[in-house]
Amino acid sequence: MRKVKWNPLFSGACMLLGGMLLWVGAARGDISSTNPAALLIFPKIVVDTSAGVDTLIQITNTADVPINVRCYLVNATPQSPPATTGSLLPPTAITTTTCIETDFTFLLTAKQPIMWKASAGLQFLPLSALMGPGGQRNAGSIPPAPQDPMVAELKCVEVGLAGDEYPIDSNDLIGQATIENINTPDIQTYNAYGVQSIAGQNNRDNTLVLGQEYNGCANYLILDHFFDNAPDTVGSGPVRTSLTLVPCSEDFVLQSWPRIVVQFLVYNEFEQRFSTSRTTGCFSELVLSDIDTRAGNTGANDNYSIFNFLVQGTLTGQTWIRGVQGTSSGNGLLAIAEEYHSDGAHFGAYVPIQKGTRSKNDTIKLVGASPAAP
Amino acid sequence: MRTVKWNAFLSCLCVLAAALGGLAASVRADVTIDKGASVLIFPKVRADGTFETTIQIANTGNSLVVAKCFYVNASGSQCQETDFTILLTKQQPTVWVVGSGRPYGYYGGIQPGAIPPMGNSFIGELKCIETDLTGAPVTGNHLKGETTIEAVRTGVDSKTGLQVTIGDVTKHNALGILGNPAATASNPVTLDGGATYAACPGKQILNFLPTGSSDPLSPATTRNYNELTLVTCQEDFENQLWPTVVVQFLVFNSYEQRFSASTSVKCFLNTELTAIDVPSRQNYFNTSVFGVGVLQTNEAQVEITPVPYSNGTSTAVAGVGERILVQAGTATRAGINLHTDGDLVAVPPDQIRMPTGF
Repeated sequence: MRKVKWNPLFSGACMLLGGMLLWVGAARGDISSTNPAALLIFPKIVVDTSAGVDTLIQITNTADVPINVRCYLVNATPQSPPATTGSLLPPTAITTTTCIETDFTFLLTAKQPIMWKASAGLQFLPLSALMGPGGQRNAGSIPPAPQDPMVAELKCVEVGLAGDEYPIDSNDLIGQATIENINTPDIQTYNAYGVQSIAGQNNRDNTLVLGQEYNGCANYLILDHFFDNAPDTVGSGPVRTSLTLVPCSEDFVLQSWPRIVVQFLVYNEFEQRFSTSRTTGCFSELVLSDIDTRAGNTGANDNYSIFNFLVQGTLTGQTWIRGVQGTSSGNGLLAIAEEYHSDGAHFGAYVPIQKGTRSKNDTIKLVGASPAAP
Repeated sequence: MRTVKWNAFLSCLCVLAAALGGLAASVRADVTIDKGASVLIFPKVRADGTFETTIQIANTGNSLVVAKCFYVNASGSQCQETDFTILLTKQQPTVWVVGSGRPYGYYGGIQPGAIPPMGNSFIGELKCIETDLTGAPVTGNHLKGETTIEAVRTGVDSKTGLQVTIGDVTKHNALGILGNPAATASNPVTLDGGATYAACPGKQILNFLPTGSSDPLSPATTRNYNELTLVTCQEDFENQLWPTVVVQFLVFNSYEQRFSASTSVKCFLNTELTAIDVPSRQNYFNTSVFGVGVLQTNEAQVEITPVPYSNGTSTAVAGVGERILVQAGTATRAGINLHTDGDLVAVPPDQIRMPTGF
């Protein structure tokens, strides 16, 4: 039998190389909610002015040069029956499979932050009429929400300045959204997800390939949460959590969204595992207990949910969330969670962490800036 | 003289590895709130009779994880460190309240170990480092965490002078520092930018509504305030030493105009933004570069950058923000995880030195 002699130095080098490759591979799949990026995703924008609820959207150019931004508002408000005042505010259960997309473009000057109310838009940007110190002006405007009440997702992509408005591989945008209830009053802020473009990979067409041109969506989202109706560890009343899910793949040209089966694996503090699943479309917002039971917080349903404190017996749990991969689409998901205290009077938002990479890419097909654009 | 012969293939591999190492260091930038990590930083923890904090930590891995945690109490004239160890089985989440801790058997679930109570005079940070059973740091990237800060009384916060309303809730993701899974870590934990652990951010960015500005939703009756919390990434728990870092603030308003200010951080800073450059609090809406009277716009961004020491070395900082909206005497807060841009790989790198065994 032939014996293979291993050179220790060579083996060490191979291990080092393997380790480095793993390390780089792990880093490539990141979507970050803290780093400047080429594509921003705001999973939840909500407007219900009659109930005192609106969303402040902030987008900032971190670069020393002006940049052009194209945004796509995905209106996920249930249209049939029409949403009414208060119906979109948690506790609620929204799973929308057919959304309506509208888009708009604006130009940000160097280092410029802007903000607008989702309900009102921004007809004139701050440097529309004036010229900034760098000799630059804003261009474009931001339309108001197409309906009130409204719940929506917002995606914004950095595009070229030279009139072509095709995506570019610069990572200059940061964003955050603040959902305000002025009647309570209460506010919560979350950072927009930033999908970084990969240098040299952008082919400058209107199809964004996440996982190839841009960082890919993760295989799992991992959410730490209180089980619904667990007693507040500090204040009064039970704690409940709602989860908003949006797909990484979207086709704005054909206005079609994938049907994604979402698998949930739930672990309690006894290391016990439970699971359930649910189908989502272009937008989903559910109180955790409503994922596997009927909507509404009554003992007849929520008390039997695997997300409920009465079922689990521990205060907190960890839920792994995975969109089941399609035949051609990665079916990745992004999410934000909102934790409600004091019977819903106070709330705070946070993000799940991401783990693993997908073997299939997700794609976002943008509507071209001109009718001739592909 | 001895001659060393290089194998061409081996040399090529080494060059490739070095190149990939450089790439890794460049793409794996700084702190994250989106990944399981080997070091968790909870920059703002309060249990002081005005606020109470609930900590959540989870093991995202499929095997048992140990974490060594360090409270740094900055409520007094100097920082005071207290540490404890938690042990989490696979996928196990755990939770505790900072003031009361987690006495053995107090909550349901598998017990992670007793967690000491901090009472009602704690203002500071919490850091948790993934270790093996002997207490040596490991780069497993299995930890994630969150804080929930709840107001427990209505009144004025003596720390910042801001209004507080009982029941109000602020949520933050813990900041995570990734370890290099291929590396072997040791004490001290070295934030070298990727060879062992990622480094802290070189620049942090906070988008904010200027202090004193009114809220766009209800202009007549509201005022916005902003709180910033920063902690140093270099900490020596063995010798109880913390560096003092000068931090530079570059503020840009929506007219692209630039302003600046600076302050110093020794282990922990928790302040309203305008108190950075107007500590006297005189007419600060109109005199601070973070105030609406100076900025003249409803929106601004501030870049937060540590300044190198005169000898060329430097120390990074990491932190969180909060927006406070006061409407007719009622205050509400929203937690903000700062954006980050690039990492600060200091020479020598920042280190977290854990106490050694007795």
